[in-house]
Amino acid sequence: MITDNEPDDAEVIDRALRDPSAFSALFDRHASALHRYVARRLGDSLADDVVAETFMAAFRRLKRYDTTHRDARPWLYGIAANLIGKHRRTEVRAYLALSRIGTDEVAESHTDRVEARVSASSAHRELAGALAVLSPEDREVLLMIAWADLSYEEVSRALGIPIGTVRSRLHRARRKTREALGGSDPSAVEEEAARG
Amino acid sequence: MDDLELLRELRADVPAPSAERLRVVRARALRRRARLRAVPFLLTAATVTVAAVLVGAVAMTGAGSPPAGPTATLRTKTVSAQAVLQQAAWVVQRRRPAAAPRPEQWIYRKRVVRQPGGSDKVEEYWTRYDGLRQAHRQGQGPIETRTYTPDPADDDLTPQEFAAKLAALPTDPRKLLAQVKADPLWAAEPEGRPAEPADVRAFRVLSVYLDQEVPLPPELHAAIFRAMAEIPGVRVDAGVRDAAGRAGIGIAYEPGPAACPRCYNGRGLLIERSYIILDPTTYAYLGRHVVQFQDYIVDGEVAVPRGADYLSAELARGIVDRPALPR
Repeated sequence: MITDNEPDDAEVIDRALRDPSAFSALFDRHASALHRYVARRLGDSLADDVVAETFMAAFRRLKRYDTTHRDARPWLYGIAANLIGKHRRTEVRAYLALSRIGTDEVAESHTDRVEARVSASSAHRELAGALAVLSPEDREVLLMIAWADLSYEEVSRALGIPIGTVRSRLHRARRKTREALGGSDPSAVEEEAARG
Repeated sequence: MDDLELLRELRADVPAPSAERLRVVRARALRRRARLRAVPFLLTAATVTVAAVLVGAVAMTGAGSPPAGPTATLRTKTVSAQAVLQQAAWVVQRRRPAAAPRPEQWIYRKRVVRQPGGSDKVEEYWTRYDGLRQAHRQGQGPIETRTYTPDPADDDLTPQEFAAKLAALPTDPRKLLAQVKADPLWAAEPEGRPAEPADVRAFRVLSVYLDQEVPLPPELHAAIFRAMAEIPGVRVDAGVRDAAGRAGIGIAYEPGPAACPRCYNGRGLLIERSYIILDPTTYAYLGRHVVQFQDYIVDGEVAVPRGADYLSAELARGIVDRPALPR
């Protein structure tokens, strides 16, 4: 989406500090993916609110943005993480429901047809059960990596935690999900080490 | 397939929003900018929001209210809310005020949480009084410390700022009540949704004050109890147990189904009741107990069954010089 001629996020933010209308470029660049990410975590009905609030909060914090970071995604996802956290019970309840009864209210929330129930595989049910019991901090790191495609370094910036903490939280989260899936997979551990 | 790949498949068919829908969100996100700049402090504290998630789910009842002791874990007795809360106010008012921590000291808090169907989880928190550093430990795990940048424009108050906010609150119960009812800082619903009824907000905000970690000035602490006694629909039950098994005074709020339709199921029965638990002698805050009266239904199926209670208990609180395990 960003071509050579377009300003990067840091430049957009720099302009927006002088001219607030420039801020809309940041929305146009990132809102769609963020919306999908939020909908994936909280369901369709909360996504509009959380995305709108994320950008409102981002605008209020423009002055603190460190423009040495050209890509604003970690910053935006970090803000969104706080807002998503306010709906923790909703999020966890959906994982619980998916794990216990195999239907996913989040997956269904965006389908028009009521009868289009999503029946989850047993592996996904086990996975959802693990997501439900992860600590919020571990879940945040895991889903930022798995669903938002952020790198370790980006998650570290998003959450304001050291990279070592990102690694240890991810490691813990993956150990728990693997346990829920019925045993550990040594190759997955190696792959994780290689990703670093 | 490894666990991460499997996870990437989960809910992978959630679509991106339509252009039309995104336009509406965009208008909202960008339009409110001007208003927020004009009124920059429409916001709340992160600690408050966390508590509000729990307190916001306070079950409310009136007609259709079940008796207090439907489960084996609870043998409670409903007592006069006014009498208990007035007594609590007298007791806490005589306490000596806690000395304010120095900015580089840490507030320590240890609690245990029992989720429905889960095992007990012990959590320890250290927050430096100036709010710039936080540490956290789960169970027997390592202490994880992080630097923290408080953002007053986005729900964050440092303990020091929270203490200043508390110190500025009126200690006359009626004035306090009027203030928390009208306080736009503590909105639970996003703008554009119907506002929370004033009494609901008042009870929730006062509960947040009791739950937060900064020591309450005795006069304010007493005023909070007296203000709660003024809210119609506050109930007090004796013998409510926290996650540590301690029996205390449970305070809950039940304004009736008209005031809180989402607190009731399709048959008009109360879904859950959320207690704040106080020590029966010192009236110190012990923890919470949320009683699940009805099955929580998702898509016609039971997601959280009746009787699956949520409990917490404060195990320790104090001021320490550094984030380390107490010896």
